[in-house]
Amino acid sequence: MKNYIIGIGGTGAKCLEHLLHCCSAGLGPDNLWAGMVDQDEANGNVSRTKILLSKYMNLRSTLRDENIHDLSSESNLFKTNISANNDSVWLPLKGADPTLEQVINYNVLKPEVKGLIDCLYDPEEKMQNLSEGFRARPNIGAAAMLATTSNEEDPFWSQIYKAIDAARTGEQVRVFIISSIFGGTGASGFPNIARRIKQIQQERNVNSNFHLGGALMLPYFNYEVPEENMDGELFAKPEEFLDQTKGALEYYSKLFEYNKIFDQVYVTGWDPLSKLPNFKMGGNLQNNPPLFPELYAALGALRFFSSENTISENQEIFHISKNDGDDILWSDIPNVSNSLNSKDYISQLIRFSFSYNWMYGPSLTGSWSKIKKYQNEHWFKRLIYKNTYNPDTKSCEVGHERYQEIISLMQDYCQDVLTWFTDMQYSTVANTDQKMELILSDFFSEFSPKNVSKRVKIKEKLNASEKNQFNKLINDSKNLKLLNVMNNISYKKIYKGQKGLGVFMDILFRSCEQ
Amino acid sequence: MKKILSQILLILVLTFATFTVHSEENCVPEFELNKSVLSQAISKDEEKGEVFVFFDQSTTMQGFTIDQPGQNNLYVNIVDDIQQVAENIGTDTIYQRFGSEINTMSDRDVAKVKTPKFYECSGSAVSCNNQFSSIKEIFAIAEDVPEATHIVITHLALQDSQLLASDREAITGPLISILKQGKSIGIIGVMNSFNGKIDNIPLRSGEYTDYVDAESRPFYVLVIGNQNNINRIKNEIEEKHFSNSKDKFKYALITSNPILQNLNVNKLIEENYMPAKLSREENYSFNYFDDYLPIYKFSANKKTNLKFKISDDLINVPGSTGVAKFSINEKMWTTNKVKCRDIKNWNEAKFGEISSIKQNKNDITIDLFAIKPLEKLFRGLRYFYKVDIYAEKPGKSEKEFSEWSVNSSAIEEFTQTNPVSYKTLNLEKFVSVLNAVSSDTFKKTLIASFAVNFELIK
Amino acid sequence: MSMKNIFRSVLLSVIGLSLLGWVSFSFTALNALGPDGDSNLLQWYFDNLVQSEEITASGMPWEDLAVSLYNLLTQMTTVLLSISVVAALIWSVASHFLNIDSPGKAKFYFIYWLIFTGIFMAAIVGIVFWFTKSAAFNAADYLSGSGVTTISAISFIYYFLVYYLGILLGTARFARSSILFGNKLPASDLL
Repeated sequence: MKNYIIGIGGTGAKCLEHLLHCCSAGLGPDNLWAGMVDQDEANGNVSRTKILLSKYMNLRSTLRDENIHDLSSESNLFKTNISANNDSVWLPLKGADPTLEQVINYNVLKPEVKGLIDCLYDPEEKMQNLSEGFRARPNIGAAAMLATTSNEEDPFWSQIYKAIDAARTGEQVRVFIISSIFGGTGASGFPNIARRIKQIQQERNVNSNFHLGGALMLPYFNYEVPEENMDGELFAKPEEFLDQTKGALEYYSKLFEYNKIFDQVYVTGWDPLSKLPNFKMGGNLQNNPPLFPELYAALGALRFFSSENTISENQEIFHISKNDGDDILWSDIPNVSNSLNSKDYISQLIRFSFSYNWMYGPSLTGSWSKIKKYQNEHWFKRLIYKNTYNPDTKSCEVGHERYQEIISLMQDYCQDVLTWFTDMQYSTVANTDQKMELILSDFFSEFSPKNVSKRVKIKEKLNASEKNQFNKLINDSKNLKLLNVMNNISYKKIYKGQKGLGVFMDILFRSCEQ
Repeated sequence: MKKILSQILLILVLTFATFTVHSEENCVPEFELNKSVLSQAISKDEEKGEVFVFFDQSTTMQGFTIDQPGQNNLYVNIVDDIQQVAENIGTDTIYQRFGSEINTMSDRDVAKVKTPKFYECSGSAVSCNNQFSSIKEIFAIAEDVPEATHIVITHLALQDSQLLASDREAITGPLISILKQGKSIGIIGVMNSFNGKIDNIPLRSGEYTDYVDAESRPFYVLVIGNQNNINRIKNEIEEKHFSNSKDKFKYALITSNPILQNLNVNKLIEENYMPAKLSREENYSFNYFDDYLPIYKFSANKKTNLKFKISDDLINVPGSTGVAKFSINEKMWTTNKVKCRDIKNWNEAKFGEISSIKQNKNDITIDLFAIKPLEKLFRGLRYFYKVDIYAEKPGKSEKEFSEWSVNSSAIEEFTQTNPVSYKTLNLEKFVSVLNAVSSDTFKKTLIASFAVNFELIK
Repeated sequence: MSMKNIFRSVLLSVIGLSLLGWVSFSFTALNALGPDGDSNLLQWYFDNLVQSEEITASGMPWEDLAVSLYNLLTQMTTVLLSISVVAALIWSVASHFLNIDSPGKAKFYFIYWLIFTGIFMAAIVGIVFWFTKSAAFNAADYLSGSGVTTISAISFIYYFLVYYLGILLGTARFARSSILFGNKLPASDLL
């Protein structure tokens, strides 16, 4: 089965971020192509997801190399083989600072068409610099996207064409797009990209094996817009989100009624809206924190891709929501499938990240003269020494640069996981009456909501009593202690075919399973 | 039917009795029981014999017949007492006087013994035969007539020459014979007033001198015969005259057998010869085996204290020298069956010396397992330990008379001190000669036997 | 704590104990049968363990007295082996519960092992003492000073080795650095 996911706009990128972490936990399909669509190339969220995607792919390729480091096919860590274009983001409108007028070639339009454009768009809208996105103007976005061609030569669209061609050869293909129903890029991209895909499918005469799914994010956050210096500026106004949503829902209602574009749609939202502390119109300063509802969209996508998910002939619309109370619990997180329990996998990933970041990673970091003090310990002998030993030099080379790089990459990734989840936990309920304590994070992190670039600061080192809090790390869960982790890494069976650092990484990951 | 039942009952009783006897017999190993004949030897001499009374007629004896103002003179009274006793203990009493020779006296002359005239030398000095007391002659007579009782009243001052060479032999020879025949010699010393001349005092120069300033001096009554008669005479004199002045009376009994009796013969050994605490030990019993050997049976632990004590009064003939040295003969058997009915055989142990014997002032104590302590034995075994107590050597009595004795080497100096109370020349030496003979004739005698039969538990 | 891992430790511990423990078992069985007149063991006891002169002097045949000594040794070796087995198994199970939750922490638990082993060795000494020196057994009286020393030394060394092999194999893998030379064991999946 081939799987494709497209995250549209900032929300799509953020959902993709959640999805990548879920894939690293083993919740994803065997393979997945990921792409993003955003006119705001420098968008902070898109950039963050791009970096994360790159890290994921890099780590995975390093740790699933049959010759050097191999987690083995049985490992769930970085299970999903995620691929992407060299530039994972597709800009609908290329060029420096494009405006709508330029995109639609307003000047050469027939007068009657010009008149139509003038009715539909304000002068400001026609002149808006679109390099930082469509500023919550789906009308602009739709026009801009429709004006571009779905060129098969385009790296982004070539993947879609390949996907449809693969379906024609009999292979199961599933494409999923995520965006917000409000805002700019997402609101405009979702239906138009979906329709475009459907069009290509029909052009290629592909009637089976191809399925399209989508996740629509209803409003789930808001922010305060500062009054000064905003005159004349187009920007997304939170108070307009609900109206936009209402209008959009009416549109989709009609669309789904008369035109089966999607096989499955996952709809979710949030109430009360999460209050984001910062407002940025676009660019790299628009770096919103990960929020819980985005995880719903990500899990919806993973559910769509799951082999246990039987796609019906009829279009299905799924609503995902939490319990009615103010407390957000693990039970509010839906499972990807009967065999993929989201909580278990995500908890495992978080424990792994904790253990690696503070317990084992530091032991493996540094030169051999620093590391060798562990060389007589069973876990080291079994998992590291044997698998990084060079018979030619008759020495353990874990202290060498090529191994250290991987160790460092993984530590970095683990910090990303901890930051992601902690940020989501803090930011989702900040300034609301809601409470989210899915994990205990106070003891290892500090939250600064106004520090856009680094809202969550992870402690570099933990003392003994802080480390002991590991067994309370995951709330509403049976306690797994660091002792159990140590026990497990000593006894877990090494899969056949595991090599190099893949041995240790996978064993540690599996040892964090409840 | 009745007959059959009776027979069955009889068989059962016999079997039980046999079993019981057998069980009891198994509790004691097989050993030789040394039964003593001592008490038979120490039987009362019921038969009376003759009594010979010898009066020392030497001139120096005259001083005992003349009163010394301020001094008590018992010589006459004692002579009377001896006459009386002699008449009572003997069938016939023959009186003799002796100096350098022995001559018979008539009964009428006996009364003169109490007068100074008896001791005067009538006739020339050459014909006087009473300047010298030849005690050896009396011993010769005693040897010849062993069944008689011989009583000698003398000053007992003997020259060195009388205790050397042939003169000594003349004493020791008959004495050996006398003692071997079970007879004894009692020496009764009486410190009496003296008013006369003590002659034949030897000087270093080889000459002799006299001393006339003595106011008191001992005389002696030697009694040679059986112990009963000796004791009778001694008691008579002591009770009559010395009940309040014991310092003027001395007595020693020279005998080949100072042992009074064997304690087993009449079952005189009692439970309390062992510490009283022993009777409180587990499984304690005290019984006589074969009506002869007392056996203390108990369960012991390694700290059990076992001391066997016998009073001297039960062993020594009163007044005798007693026993100077005791010994014990020990034998031990072991078995690993502690219940008597399970014992099939005993094994003789070879532990060597096990206990020690200690002679105290008035008793002897056998410290059982003093040398081979109980700590060194093995628990869980039953031990049978038999002890025979022997008298090895008789005691000596010279010390009894040392206060009244002076040697020839010291007499000159002693005399020069002008003593009021004079001592007897070579008295200690004389008694020592007698003791030596008695020691030579003494036979190792079994005094008592006993056994302990114990199981050594914790 | 994974019960499977604990059972595995117990099994390995039993294997380790068996490596030398069978000797004790055989010895106990031999003693339980009692003395045999022609036995070399009986003679060896006489020559090396007991106060042979005293026994000879007692007049008792050695074969008769030896019954209780055999009984003493049977019971003593049974108790010693049992204590060794129990101690090794306790350590093997308990090692899974030592709070070794991070790299480099195992070696600090060496002191725990030392104390535990010290208590075990004290128990061995105490047991040997009780059997050979106290009033509990009559047969202890037969033993000479050098015999007691021999028994003590052999017991001390032998049962320590039995216990040690038991814990060497039975200690939880992650706790091996807490026991002497435990980290020398290869990181094999069999161990």
